[in-house]
Amino acid sequence: MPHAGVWVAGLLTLVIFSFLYRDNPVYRTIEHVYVGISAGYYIAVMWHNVLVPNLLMPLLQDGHWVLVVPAALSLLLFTRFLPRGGWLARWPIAIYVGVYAAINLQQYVQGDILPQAQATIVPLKTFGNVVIVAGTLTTLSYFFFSREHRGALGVSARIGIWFLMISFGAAFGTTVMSRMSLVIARAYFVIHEWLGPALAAMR
Amino acid sequence: MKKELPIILCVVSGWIVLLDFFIPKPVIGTLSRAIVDWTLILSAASFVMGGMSVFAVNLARVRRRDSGARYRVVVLVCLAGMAGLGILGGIGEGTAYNWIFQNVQVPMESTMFSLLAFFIASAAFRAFRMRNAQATVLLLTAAVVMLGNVPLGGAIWSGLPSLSSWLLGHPSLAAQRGLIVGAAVGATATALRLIVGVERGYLGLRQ
Repeated sequence: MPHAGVWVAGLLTLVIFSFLYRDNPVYRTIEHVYVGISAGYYIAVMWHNVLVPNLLMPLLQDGHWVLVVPAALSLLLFTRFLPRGGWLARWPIAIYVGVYAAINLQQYVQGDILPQAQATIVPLKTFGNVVIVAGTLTTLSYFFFSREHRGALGVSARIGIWFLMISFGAAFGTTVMSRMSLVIARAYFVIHEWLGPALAAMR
Repeated sequence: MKKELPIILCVVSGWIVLLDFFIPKPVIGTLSRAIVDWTLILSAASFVMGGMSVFAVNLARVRRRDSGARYRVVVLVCLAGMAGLGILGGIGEGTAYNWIFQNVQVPMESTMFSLLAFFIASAAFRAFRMRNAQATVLLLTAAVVMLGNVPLGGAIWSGLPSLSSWLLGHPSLAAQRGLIVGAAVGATATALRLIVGVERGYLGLRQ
């Protein structure tokens, strides 16, 4: 007989799939359970994985008093809930934005722009390579809005649209297939891990 | 204090982290690592604040007895319950929190996403009808990629899986590359505007 967790997961799966027939109160209840549990999940994860080991333990047990600064900044975030003084939350948000802008600035250049440009510089000896170079350049030209899309730029941008359409179609196809994989996985779970063993145990 | 100090904090913290990349001096490195560690704490605190915000918004609507208030009670109970179980009882193996995560949250998430398979198909039927040549290309590419990934596609025409791979590996890759580079250039420009103090929208200030 499947354990209680499998029964819970199986029933939840069926309730959520009931939405395919029509919206119903049981589905809506479970939908709100999902919202609440997901929000609670992240709060607890952040508490145990970040706040306790990086702030509370070093500050309270090891006496790293410099951590009073991020602790105070963290508390300032909660001034958003006060009727007055909500502007104080801008201070930690400003630091957060500044730091992540600087980190991302390096990552975008090192992780996206340079490797992608490097991978596009290929010998034009095969049809595939010509397609890759032409597709990348024409797609980029479509997103160049500093000049009106006329003349050579217009032609290039229009070709870029065709490449984008192929890419969107491929992205759509792979998305549908990944979702279908999830449907198959859920169906497999219901049949082989929940109902199948449950019926076999009852016989 | 309300306007200038946040901009100064953003610019100074941003430049310290950026300078650490270009000037590998111990002083800057120590300062940069400390600020990045503090930011990690801030991001975790913002998750807690976000959860409290969800709680406060739903609680206010329950008090006002808005439509669907009973569903909002469910959100409140589940949010407080899951967060409380995790914070007080731990999140490791064998805890109630972990049991709920494995047997409630993971199956619900997986099933919710799988529901999209049905709706994405009906939405695509409405959106991608062959209205013009470009929409036709999109539709055909999607069909080739979908059929190329299943045995049925190979049974219909043996070249379909190869065509699917070629489409993914050449024209689609090229367009994705253009999109990635374009987005990265835009994001880089935005990041630069932020750390020189030109971009101030994140503070909610009126220009």
